[in-house]
Parts: sequence; C-alpha cells; structure tokens
Amino acid sequence: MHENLIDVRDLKKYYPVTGGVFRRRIADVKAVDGVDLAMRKGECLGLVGESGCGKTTLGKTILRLQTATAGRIYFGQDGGKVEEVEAMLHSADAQARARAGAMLKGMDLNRMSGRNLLALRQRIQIVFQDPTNSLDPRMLVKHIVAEPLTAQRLVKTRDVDARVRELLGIVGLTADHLMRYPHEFSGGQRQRIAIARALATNPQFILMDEPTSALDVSVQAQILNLLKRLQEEFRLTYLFVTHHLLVVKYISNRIAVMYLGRIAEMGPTAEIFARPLHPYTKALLSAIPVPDPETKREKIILTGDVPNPINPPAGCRFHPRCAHVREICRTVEPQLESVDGGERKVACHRWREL
Amino acid sequence: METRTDQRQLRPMHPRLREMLFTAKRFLRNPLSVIGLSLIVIFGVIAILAPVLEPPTNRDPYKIPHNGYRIEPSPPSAAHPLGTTQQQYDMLYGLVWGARSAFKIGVLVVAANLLIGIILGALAGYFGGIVDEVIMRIADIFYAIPFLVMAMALVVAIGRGLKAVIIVLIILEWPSYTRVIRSDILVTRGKDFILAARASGASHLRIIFSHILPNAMYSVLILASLNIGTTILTAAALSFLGLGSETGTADWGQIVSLCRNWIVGTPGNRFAYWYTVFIPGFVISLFVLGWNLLGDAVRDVFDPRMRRR
Repeated sequence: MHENLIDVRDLKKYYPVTGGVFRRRIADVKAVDGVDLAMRKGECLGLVGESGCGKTTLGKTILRLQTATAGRIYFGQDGGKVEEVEAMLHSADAQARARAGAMLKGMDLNRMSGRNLLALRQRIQIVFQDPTNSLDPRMLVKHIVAEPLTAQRLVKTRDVDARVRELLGIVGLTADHLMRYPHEFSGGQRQRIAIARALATNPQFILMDEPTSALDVSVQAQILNLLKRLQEEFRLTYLFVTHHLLVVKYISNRIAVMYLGRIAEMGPTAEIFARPLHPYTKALLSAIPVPDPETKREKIILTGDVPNPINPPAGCRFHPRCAHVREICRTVEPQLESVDGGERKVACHRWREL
Repeated sequence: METRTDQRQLRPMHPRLREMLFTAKRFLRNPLSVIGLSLIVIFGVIAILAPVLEPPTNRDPYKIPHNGYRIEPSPPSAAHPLGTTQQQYDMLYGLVWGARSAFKIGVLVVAANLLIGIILGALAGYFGGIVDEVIMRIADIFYAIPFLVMAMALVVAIGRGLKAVIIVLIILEWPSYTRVIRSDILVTRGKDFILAARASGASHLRIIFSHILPNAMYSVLILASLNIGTTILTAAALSFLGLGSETGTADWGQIVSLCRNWIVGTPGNRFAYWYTVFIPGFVISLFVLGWNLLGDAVRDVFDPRMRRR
C-alpha cells in the first residue's frame, strides 16, 4: 500500500453569513462540504473545477491558512495509526471517541497550534496565483526568499545568504537579482522568486494555487517545466489547483474534479481524459478547444451558473445543470464510490448507464 | 561568471539608496515642493537661531519683552522693526520665538497622533473583531462631538497654556489617523504576501512590522505632513478664542489674539493698525502654506498610484 503524505477526511469549511442588527449567523456559505482526499508521497494531484467551487479554499485549509469548520487533515502520519483513529472516531463507544479526540490533538493539522503547527509550516508551502500580489513590494528579493528561514530561525544568520543564492540558482535566477525589488522583474521571474521562497525550507508538500494562470502563455510552459523538474529533483508532492485542464493534464498524475464544495470524480489523469464518468467532467473536457478545425465534436454546454453554496441543491449537487437527471438525483446525494475497486472514484448515481 | 561580477561593479549602489534617490529626484522635479520645503527650512532656521536673532531679556525666553503697558499698538520703528502689539509686546521677538512654539505644537501633536494612530489602527485593522469594534466606536464618539466645543471643555479642564493646547489637539485628532491607517491595513492584510508570510511561519508581530506597516504607512504619512499646518491653524484659533497660551507668550496664535480689538482700525482710517493684524497673520499663512505644499509633495512622491510600481 502507498504511504499517504496527506489524508483529508470529511473536511468542511463554512463561512458564516451574518445579518440583522445583532449580526446573528443566519446562514453558511458551504465552500468545502465534506471532502475526502488522500495524496501519496511524490505525486502531483490536479484539483480542477470552475470558479467558486471551493478548490482554493480546500487548498488553504490544508495549509492551515484557514481553519476548517470540521474534518481531519493528517499530514505525514502513519497510515495504520490514521485508520485506527478514524475507526475509533466512528465507533459506537463514547469512550473510544473521546480517546480518539485526545489523540487527534497531536495528529490533526486542523487542530494543531503553536510549536507543532510551526514545525509543520517547514514541510508545507504554497505558491500563489499572482506573483505581483504574493511578493511584498517593499522587500528585496534577498529578504523575500529568506523569509521562511529567518521567520522560523531555521538557518544561522550568516548562512542565510548562501542558501538564498543556492535557491535562486535552483529556480534559474542569479545572484545579480538578490538586491532588487519585485517590481523590477517580469511576471515569470517573479513567479520563480515565489517558487524559490516556497522551496526555502525544503518542504515535502507545496500547494500550487493556479501558479501559471497569471502568466503569459510562453512563460507558463517554462514555469510548468521548472515545477516538474523541481518535483522530480526534490521528490515533492504537489496539490495543483487550477481551472486549466491542459495544464493539469501535463503535470498531474491524478486529477480530482470539484463541484460546489465536493469532489465529483477522481482518478489517474490518463483515465479521466480518456473516459470521463461524471457528466460534469464530461462537460469540462468537452470545453477544451481542439487545435484541428476539421474535427467536429459534440460540445456539452452547461446551462445556468454554479448554484449558491449557501443553499446547495438537495440530492446530487449537479442535478439542476445535468442533462441526465433522474428522480433519485434530486433526492439522494451520491457518495464518492470506487469504479474499479481502486482509486478511480466517481460520485454519480448513473455512471454505469451513461 | 566574469561578466556577472562586472555588472555588479557597475551597479554598486544599494537598492534602498537608489529608491531614496529616485524619491528625492521626483520631489525636486516639482517647483512647488521646493518652495514648500524652502519655507519650512527658513522657518526652521529662524526657530533654531532664535537666541541669536532676538536675544532673550527675560528669564523665560518665551515671555515676550514689553515696553510699558500702553494699550494701543505702536507702528514699526527703529526700536521695534515690526511694531508692537497691544500692551507693547515686541512683534518681531514674538514671531521669532513663536516659530519655536509653532514647531513644538505641530511636530509634537502630529508625532503623538501618528504613534497613537498606528498602534490603535494596527490593532483594529489586523486583529479585527471585538478589538476593532471597541476602538472604532470610541473614535466615532470623538467624531460626534463638535471639535471646538470639546476643545474648550478640555482646555477648561486641563488649564490654559501651550501644553494644554498640545494635549487637547492630541486627544481630539487621533481618531482620523486611526481611521486612515486602519483602512490601509485592511487592504494590505488581504494581500497574498501576508498569507505567504503566515505560511512561512512568521509571527503576528513580524507580519505587522515587516510586511503590513511598511506597505500601509503612506496615506497616514501624507495625512501627517498635511496636518502639521492645520494643527498650527487650530492652535492659533484656540489662542484667538482665548483658550491658548497665556498673554505675552511667544506663540503666533497668542499674538494674533492680541490684535483682536484692532482689526477695524479707527473711524477715519480703517487700516490704522494694519501691522498688528497683517504681520502675524501673514507669518502663520506662510508657515501653513509651506507645510501644505510639502504635504502635497509627499503625497506625489509616496502615493503608490502615482509611483511607478
């Protein structure tokens, strides 16, 4: 069995909506609503979905930039131990559940604080979408890249400079760039700086939050290749959040498709592209432009918008926009089930027939 | 590698220095900024050289010497180059030493307000929630009471004098600084580089001091430089109303208040006492104008929308 680096169980992130004179909580925006996700060491998992489906929120919750409303996030925990705790959590015995709760304090990223959390920050990093926003405009490149090292005092002060030079070399920049401000760089170079910063602490896992979306197409390819090279070189694990399917096809081993706070379908990249099972995935894939004008394809055009995450539709979340809707879809919420007994999973009542 | 080291030798200047030079260049490009700066420098020199220009005769140099108690102001003469005010206080002496008082009031009030504003604004903006609510509602209360009414009440409570004016202005002005810096911090707090710093394991203090404040300081610095002049005006207004320093203190507002009875002149000659009104008024205007021009210049130089990035 593969060792999971990250194991997300039943994760929920609700944002309260307040109203009235007393700012009472009147509803929740259910940005992430019950996600199970496991990531193996060294893989790149592509998380795709349209705007507002909760993919970025899911990523930021895993990074603990936001604290989840419910659910567990295991990072670098022993698989057997995770199963044991999960079993205890779901057992009927109240005492066992209490004991599991105590154990979770040291295991669940979502419950960690202080020193434990700080130690994990070394192993988890992030690269943001827009490098103009993610680099402090008032800081020199030298200090930006060194920040994770100096903030946690991981490296002796006199060694910081050498490490920063090394990092810049890794991402294809030179020591000339040390004493400059971010505004003196192009978009691609800025993203390289952001990547160098993410690598500074030698992390195991990097969340890529649409790292190429803000860049020119020509630069996108360079950055993607750089990311791929780094992944192999440092045996990194990526969670690659994007809405760009071809980027995901290029870089990911596996894909998870998100719709309205839940995972609709997941599996190995090649299989998803070859044989999408969920109607939503089919619609997404059919929207990829084909460079050959002669090819005639059936395009699935989705009607309507993503429903309001404050009040998601009953039953299958996709049913108001689905062409194959049946009575069961309106009432019963489909669970993510394995298609081939393995890692190919889909949450649809009718995947067998379609 | 050879060419790289060469390049570095060509560009030996530290980037911070480079930025400062760039700022200075932009500043000097505008003639109005230069005029503003010159005015302030001239006033500064006068304030510093006050003991040389007008050697004090009293034990307390801030007491204007007066030649007799005659009520009627006397026009400029050899003994009093700018004339005297009511009760024969020497105008020139008062204005020269008054420059010191003006800088004291302006700089002290604005510096204290900056400090209070930055601390409270940072707390409110960064932590939000109940802290924000409490601080900003107190600020609202200050906004709700008419300025002069509150100022008078406070002066009465504290007691007259230059010190009282300074304290009152600090108490009454901090809410506007706090508001400005809070709103800038709210904007900066949402930026990705703050999240990146958090993901890097930076502490709250580190994030506030090395990321948020350097990026959120501009508006409040602009406000401060514009406000030094306004503060002097307000202090003068308080003095004019008889709430400022004691009679005979070298303070511009005080000198203006001494002219209150002579603004109209005599029945035959409306401008009989022009000097006692015009001269201190002109000096105050120049001082305030200097700070306003300087404040505008600071805005032009620092406003991120006008800067190149």
